Amino acid sequence: MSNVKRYLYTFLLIVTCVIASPLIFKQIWETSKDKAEPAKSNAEIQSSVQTTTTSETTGTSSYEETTTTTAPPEPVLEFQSSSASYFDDALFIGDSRTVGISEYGNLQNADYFCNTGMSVYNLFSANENVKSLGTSTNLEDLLNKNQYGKIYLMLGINELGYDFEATMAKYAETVGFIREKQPDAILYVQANLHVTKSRSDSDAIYSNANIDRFNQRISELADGKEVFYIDINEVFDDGYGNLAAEYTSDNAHVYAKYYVDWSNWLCTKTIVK
Amino acid sequence: MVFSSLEFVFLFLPFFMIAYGFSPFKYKNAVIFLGSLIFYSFGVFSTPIYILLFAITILFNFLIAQLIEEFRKSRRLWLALGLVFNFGWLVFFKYTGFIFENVNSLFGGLSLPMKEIILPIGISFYTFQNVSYILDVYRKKTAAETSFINYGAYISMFPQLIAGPIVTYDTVAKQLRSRSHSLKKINEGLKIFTIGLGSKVLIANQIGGLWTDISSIGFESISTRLAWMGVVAYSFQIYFDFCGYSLMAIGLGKIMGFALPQNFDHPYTSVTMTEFWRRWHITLGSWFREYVYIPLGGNRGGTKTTVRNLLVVWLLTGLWHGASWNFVLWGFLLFVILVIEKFAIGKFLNKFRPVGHLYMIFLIPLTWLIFAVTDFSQLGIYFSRLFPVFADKATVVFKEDYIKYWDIYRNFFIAGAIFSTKLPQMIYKKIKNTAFGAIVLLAIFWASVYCMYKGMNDPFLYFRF
Repeated sequence: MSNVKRYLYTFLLIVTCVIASPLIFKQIWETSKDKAEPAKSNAEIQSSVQTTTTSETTGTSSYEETTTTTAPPEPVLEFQSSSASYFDDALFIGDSRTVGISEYGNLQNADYFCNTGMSVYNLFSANENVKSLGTSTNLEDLLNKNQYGKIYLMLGINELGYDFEATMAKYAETVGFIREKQPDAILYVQANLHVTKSRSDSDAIYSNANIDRFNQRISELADGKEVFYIDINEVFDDGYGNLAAEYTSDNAHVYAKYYVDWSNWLCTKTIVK
Repeated sequence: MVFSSLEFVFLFLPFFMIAYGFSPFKYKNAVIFLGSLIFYSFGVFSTPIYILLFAITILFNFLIAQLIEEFRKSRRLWLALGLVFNFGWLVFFKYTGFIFENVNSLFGGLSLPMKEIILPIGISFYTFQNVSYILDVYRKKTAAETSFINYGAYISMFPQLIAGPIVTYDTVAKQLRSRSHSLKKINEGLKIFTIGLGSKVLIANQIGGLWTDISSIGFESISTRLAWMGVVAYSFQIYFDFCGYSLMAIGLGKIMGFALPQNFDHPYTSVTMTEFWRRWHITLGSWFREYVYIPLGGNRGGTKTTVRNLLVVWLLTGLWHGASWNFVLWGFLLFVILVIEKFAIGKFLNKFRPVGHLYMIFLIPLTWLIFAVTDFSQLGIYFSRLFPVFADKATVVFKEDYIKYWDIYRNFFIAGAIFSTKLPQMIYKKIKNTAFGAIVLLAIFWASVYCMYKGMNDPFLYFRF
């Protein structure tokens, strides 16, 4: 009997491994495929994204600016600079970068509805603590309770692994939902932050080709009257469409101290009606 | 190929075990050699020439040892050749960049090419094993191995190839020729492997997330409390990572009938740094003691010589860990601490163990910090966060950051603390042959596999060695 107990682990291990092996082999197969083809899939996506590169220098900042989008509809209203008080009635919705702005930026007067894994797929079921309410809430309740003057939306990175058209549909649905709930609020659709070149070159999913494709599509939702598109990459890019390596350690998020720069840049991209 | 990967656990390992199990004894070492070369080739996928280099290194050392033994008169020549060959490659791959960098900055005009050289995996480990072998043959501690297959199996043995333990030839010489295989050993080996796997995947990889988070935030932006949490988390990460890997190696070795040496013995229970280095990476300490410290005279030449010998050993130990000045600083600091303990405070700490524990609770994370951060200005920033009295270089501080990260990592801190003590091992000894123990191990195994499945995989910290 004691021998059975002694060898019980080995026995159970082998049995459970045999049972689980099809699932495991499938996973091994999938991940090895992804690893093998980052360059190929990026090239395909790159060719489907039309890019125009324009360089502008702004008078006030020394950041190198490149915009990589098809020209959005000419804004009827122009971006202006505002002080931080502009954000007194602002709501930021987003993923880990928005979390970063909420923790390390200097727009603490705004409301934030964000978490690290936020995506268009889990946005409506998420419950987050919102400062002005002092309690946890979901997005719908939040938009019912509070009236915002401006709403900032930054999602996309966490969705890159999913079907592109399905994600686009969900994103458009999200925009429609926000517009319906808060028709008087200015909606800012934000571009997703690029990843560094090294990350982009080695990752089939989180590549700048994918991010650019996503950003281009969501920029088309901007109408220049109620919905606007802003692109943070003009601040942190390396001149070649990648996040510059000096701004980051993990190749996908900027260092905390740069959220101050991010906040200041947001102040220069405000629409005042 | 990392041990803590689905490919290894579910593809390579089962195939190897079947091939090994079904081969007759006289071919088992050949299976180990071949299987280990295949294992190695997965690791050097992008640079396949390294497999050739590895095989040539094995052959070269095998022949050199025979020449040393055969031609006693010219044995010094053969030894010298062997040492130059082995260390030559190590220096070339590991230290050329470092050397050029420093020469460039020393002689401003020079601009030696800074090509990015990819390190053949395991080179720090197999170099030390090859060198220990030819030295042992030279001083007649062991006879030269007559079978190339046996020698190849010894050096390439995949359990210890990538990250140790550093196995000296005489430890396994007899076992290469005759070792028993039994269901009991396989069973025992699988259990030890499972514990190592859990140690790495469930504790090290998870709590390692905090150091990654802090690095992403940037050292200048973390609060003091978070800074301390960070170094403690790093200390847990490096321990459970390395110890886990060594346990996996020992478990795998056992399945193949080998008894590999213990590499960790609860180092975080030490009361002095001296004791720590008898419990941490034991086989490395033994190597330096056997092949550097003792040949230099050890502690038998008076105080000055002893101190000099310690300095040499610790600078080399630091350098072995990495081709960067912070590692040299780390080694030097350890030397200073060890000398102070040896000649001043050691006895006191050993006598008043609670004080010793407190002393180590501060020293361990602080010394690991110097090990972890390669850039000196970044190191300075981190120190200023740990001890904000010296300078307040914070640009932005999210004041509640430590609460957020404690919430995320709390369980792993607690697990890390508990599993650093001797308690879990005592419990394991009692339950390992019970049904309850089997369930616990099964839970550890599948929890680890789940994490690997979800892609929560981190490269082993010691892999750049």
